[in-house]
Formats: sequence, structure tokens, C-alpha cells
Amino acid sequence: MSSHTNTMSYVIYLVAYVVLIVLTAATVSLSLVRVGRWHLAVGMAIAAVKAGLVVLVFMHLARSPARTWMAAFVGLFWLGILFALTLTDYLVRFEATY
Amino acid sequence: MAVDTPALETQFTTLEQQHQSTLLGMWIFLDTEILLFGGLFVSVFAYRVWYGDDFDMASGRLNVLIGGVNTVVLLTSSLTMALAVHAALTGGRRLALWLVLTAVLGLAFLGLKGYEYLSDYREGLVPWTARFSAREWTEHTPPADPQHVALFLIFYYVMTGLHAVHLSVGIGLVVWLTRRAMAGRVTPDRSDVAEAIGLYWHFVDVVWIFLLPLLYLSVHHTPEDFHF
Repeated sequence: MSSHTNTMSYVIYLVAYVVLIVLTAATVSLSLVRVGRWHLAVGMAIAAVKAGLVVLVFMHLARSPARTWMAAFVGLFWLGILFALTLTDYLVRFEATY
Repeated sequence: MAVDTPALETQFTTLEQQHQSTLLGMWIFLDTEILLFGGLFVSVFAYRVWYGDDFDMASGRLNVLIGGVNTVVLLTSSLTMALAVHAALTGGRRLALWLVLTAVLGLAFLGLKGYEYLSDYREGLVPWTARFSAREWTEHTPPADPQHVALFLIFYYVMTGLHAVHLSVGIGLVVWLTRRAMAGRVTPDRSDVAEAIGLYWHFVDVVWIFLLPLLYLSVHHTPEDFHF
């Protein structure tokens, strides 16, 4: 016997795909609206939702055992360290004069 | 159809254990990939602290229509890949078809990306080429520092280039898996390989999902910017 524990139904994949396309259309259209400095923040927030959908549904994380969640968490945790320690430096430096 | 190796490798006790070990191995590899791309992402954010306005001005010149269309192409390839993995896990008949579609969509992305690089070159967006004009940026209102513009563009080429290298590897893996599937060697018992390649493919998709706003969408665009 093989393991089918992680797979999901066709319907869930299709629903996730439709939501991903709608979010892509939304984020590209938002660049036509003037939101000043918020373009990047809103864009990255929508990207985070899209990435979450891909990881949970297409990569089967939602149906995966705890050890897979651990691997996913570790990746985000180290990425968090990388961002936090780098940006706490650069964000508080005096403006570059060169 | 003869399978030349037994489905269960000697180091594993059960197929379930073998399958889950393969997946965990791929997840851990993807953790290292997160840090590889993460280093580039954090560098862009660090430089944005100082040169954010210049980066935005350069970002506004990228081809947002091709960037958006390519996002749809890649998301569609993730759907066909998910359906391929589903077929592999359940012994579905359309496995090879979904895999071929995935590879074709991956190639379509690379083709569009190549065309985009060419149009970037024509529009003077490749630093150190004759068409890149420092004056165009210093005389812009408001003016931008051409060196900061060049820095943003270098990040754009390095990050999209590294992504394209990853996608090329993915296409190679999918082609290899298609040949295996057509030889009848991707049985539900050995579907771990297909699911692991699927994980890699979706990860490359996730990288692009974040590259789109970071590079293309950090600034306001006008409808005239949407052209091929």
C-alpha cells in the first residue's frame, strides 16, 4: 500500500487556483491606484496570503504531519532572524552620505 | 510493466516511512533555499532604507504587464503540477499529460521572461550598455541617482535570473519524471519522488509570488505602462 495521506481533492486545488488568480489581478490592478508609500507593503501582504495558499494547499502542508510544520516553521524562523537582525541595523543608521 | 528496483529501499521499514522521509528531505532543502533567496530580499529592503525613492523610480519602468501575465502562467503551472502529483499518488492515468503541461507552462514563462529582458535592453534598462543613459535619470523630475537606479536593476536581473535558473532545474526534473511516468515507473508506491519534485516546483512559484510586488509593484503605474 502506498501513502495517500497528504493529497487533497481536485476541487480544493481548483478553488485555491481561482483565489490565486483573483489575488494576482487585484495586486496588479492596485498599482493603478495611488496609495503613495503603501504599494510595497500592500503588495507584500497580498503575496504572503498567496504564498500561504500555495504552501497549505498545493504543497499539502494543511494535511501534513507535525514534522513538516516544523520544517516550514524553521525556514520562516531563520528568515525572521535574517530580516530582524539586518534591518534593526540599517533602519537605525544615520543616513548614508555617499 | 517491469520495475527494475523494488519499491522499498533497504534502509526503510515501510513505504509510508520512505515516502515521508523523501518529503522531509525536500522540505529541509527548501529551508536552505529560503535563506538563499532571503539574503537577496533582505538586501533589497536594506538598500531601500536609503535609496527607496530611486528604487521606486526604476521599478516604475519595469514591464508590469509581462510580470503579471508571467505570474498567471506560473500559478497555472502550479495547478497542473498539483494535479500531476495527485495523479501520481492515486495512480491516475493522466499523470504524463499534467507533467507535460507543467513543463510547457514553465517554458512559456522562460520565453516571456527572455522577451522581457530584450525589451528591458531596448528601453535602456540594462546598466553599462550603450542604451542605458545616466542623463535620462539625472534630468528626470524628480531626479534620480543613476547609480542607485543601476543597483536596483542589478538586483532585478540577479533575482529574476536566479529564479529562472531554479525554474530551468524544475523543468529538467519534470521532463525526467515524465519519461519515468511514460515507462510506467511512477507507481503510487514510488510517488514520493513525484511529490518531492512538486514541492520544489511550488516553492519556485512562491519565490516569484514575492518577486512580483518587490520588483514590479512598489510604485504607482499608469495604464500606459501596460504594454508588451
